[in-house]
Amino acid sequence: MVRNKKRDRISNLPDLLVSHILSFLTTKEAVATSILSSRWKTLWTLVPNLDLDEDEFEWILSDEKQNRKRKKRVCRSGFTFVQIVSKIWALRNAYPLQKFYLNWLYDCDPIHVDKWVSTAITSVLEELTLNICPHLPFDIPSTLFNYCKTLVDLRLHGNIIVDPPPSSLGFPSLKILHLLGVQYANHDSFSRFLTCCPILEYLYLKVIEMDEECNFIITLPTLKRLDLNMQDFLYKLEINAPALEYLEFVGFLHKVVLLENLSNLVKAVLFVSYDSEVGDTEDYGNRVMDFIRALYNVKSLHLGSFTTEYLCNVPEFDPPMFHNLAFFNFDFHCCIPHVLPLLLQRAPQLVVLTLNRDKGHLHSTSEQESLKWNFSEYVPKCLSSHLTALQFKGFKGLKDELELIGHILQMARVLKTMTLSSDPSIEKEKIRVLKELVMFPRHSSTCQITFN
Amino acid sequence: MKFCAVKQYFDDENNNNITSGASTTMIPLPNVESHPLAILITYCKKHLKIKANNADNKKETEKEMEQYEQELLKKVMPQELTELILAANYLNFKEALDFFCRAVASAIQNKSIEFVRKFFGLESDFELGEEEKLREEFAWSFEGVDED
Repeated sequence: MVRNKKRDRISNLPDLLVSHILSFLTTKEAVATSILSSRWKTLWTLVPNLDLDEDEFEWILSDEKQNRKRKKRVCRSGFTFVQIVSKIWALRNAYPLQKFYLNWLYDCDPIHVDKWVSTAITSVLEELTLNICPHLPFDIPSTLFNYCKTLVDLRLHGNIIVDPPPSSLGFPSLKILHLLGVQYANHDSFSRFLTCCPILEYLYLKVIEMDEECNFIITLPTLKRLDLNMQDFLYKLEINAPALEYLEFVGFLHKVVLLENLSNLVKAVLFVSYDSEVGDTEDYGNRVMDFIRALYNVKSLHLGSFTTEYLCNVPEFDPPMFHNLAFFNFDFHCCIPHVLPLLLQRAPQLVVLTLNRDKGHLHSTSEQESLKWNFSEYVPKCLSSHLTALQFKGFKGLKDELELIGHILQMARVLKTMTLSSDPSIEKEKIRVLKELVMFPRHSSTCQITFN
Repeated sequence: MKFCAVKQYFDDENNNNITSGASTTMIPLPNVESHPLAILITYCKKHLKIKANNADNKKETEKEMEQYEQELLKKVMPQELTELILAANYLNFKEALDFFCRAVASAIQNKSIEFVRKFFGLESDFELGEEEKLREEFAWSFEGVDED
C-alpha cells in the first residue's frame, strides 16, 4: 500500500544539521521540539549551547514557602527555575558545551551555580556569560583559569568574586571580557586577571562600591575597545593601550588616573558623573582636563553635560590641539562662555558639530540667559573652512541658544546643513523661532536649515 | 574562496600537477542539485560584491547584507530551505549554512507543535500516551508557544 507521498522534508537532514538549526533557538525553545516525533526526542540535547534565562519564563509566587523568608517562585506550569535547569542538565549527559549563558537573579543559589559552571568549564568552552545575584557571593571556580584554552567571550555580571590563582594558564583565546560589578579577592586581582589575557580586544569594566582601593592596571597591547563605568571613587586606574580605537568613560573620575599611549584612539566618550560630595570643583575640573588632554588625537569626541560643566571650573582653560577631530558632540546645560568657543579654536578639521542641551547641575537655571558666548574676533579655522553640518538637540529656543546659532551661522562659510531637534516643551514656539532663525545672516549661502 | 569544498578541489588539482589547457574546469558536485546551487552562487557573489563595495565600512556591509537576505527569504519556499542547508553544508559554505539554518529556526520559533510538524512534513510516531507524558514533563518549555 502506498502511504501518502508527503515528503518528510527534514528526515534527509542529518542529526548534526538539525542540531545546528536548533542552536539558533533558545534552550527552552529547543526543548519544545522534543515532542515532534520520536527522532526528535533527544535532538535538542546535541546542541552544544545552553542558555538558561529566567526572563524567558513568566513567574508567579506560590503560596508555599521555599524557606522561611521567601515564597517559592514557579512558572505557570509549577516548576521552579532550579527544577527546570536540573532537568536540562540531567538529560544533556556530559556533552561538552561551547556556549553557556546563565541569567538568574531571583533566589539565586550559589551551590547550584557552582555545579553548573564547574560542569560547563571544559577545554571546549568558547563563550561563558553569568548574570547572577546569589545571596552569598559566588566564587568563580579556579578551574576557569586553567582549562579554558578556547574561551573567546567571557562576561561576568553580579555578585561574583574573582580570584585568579597565582599561576594560571589563563585565556590564550579570550577576545571579549566583561566584568560588571564583580568583586576582587584583593587589590591586585584585576591586574593579575588581565595578565592572562594576552590577545584581549574588548574590555567592559563596571566598578561598583568597593571596600578597599583596587588597582585597575590596563596594559594590553591588543586592546581595541574599552568601556569603563566607575561608580565609586576608590580606585587606581592606569591605561596603556597603544592599539585602542574606542574609549568610553562613565562615572567618577578619581585622582589617580593615568592615560598613556592613546595615539591610535579614534573615538572617545566622556560622561563624568556629577558628584554632590566633591567639594573642590576646580580640582575635579583639572582631573577632567587631564583626561581630555590624553584624547588629543581622536577623530570623534563626545563630552557629556556634566563633563563640560566641570570644564568651566578649570582656571586657565587651555585645551590641546585636536588636529584630527572631525566629529564633536558637545552636551551642555547652560552657557559656558569660553569652553565651546575655545574648543572650536583647537579643532581645525571639524566637520560635524552636534550640540545637545541636556540636564546639568552646577549652575542654577536663572543664570542661563545672562551669560554671553565668548567668541573672540578670530574665527575658528574649522568654521571658516571645514564645518559642513551643525546639529542642535534639545533645542528650547532660549536666548543663549539663538545667540550661539547666530554666531556660528555668521562664521561657518561652508556649512551645508543645520538640523534643530527641539525639546518637546517648545512646540508652540516653533514658528516664532523659525522666523527668527531665517532672519539670521548666514555666511554660507547654501546652508539648509531643518527643524525636527 | 567561500565554497571550501570547491577550493579543496582546486588545491588538490594543483597538488597533482594536472596541466589543464582549458580555462574552465568541471568540478563534480554529486550531492548538490542545480537549483539550490544556483541560489548559493548568487548569495556568494552578492556577499562578495557588497563586501567590496563597502570596503572599510563593516556596518554598511552588514546592513546591506541583511537587506539582501530579507529579500531572498521572501522568494525562497520553506521546502527549499532543507535543500539549501544540505547544499551549503556539502560545499562547506559557512555563512550561507548559518543563514539558512537561522532562517529555519526563526520560522519555527515558538510556533505550535502542529505548525512545526507541518512545516517539516513530520508525523507523530509516538506510542499511545507517550506524547502526553512528554508534554507534562516539559510543560515549562511550552509556555509562550502558540496553541495547537
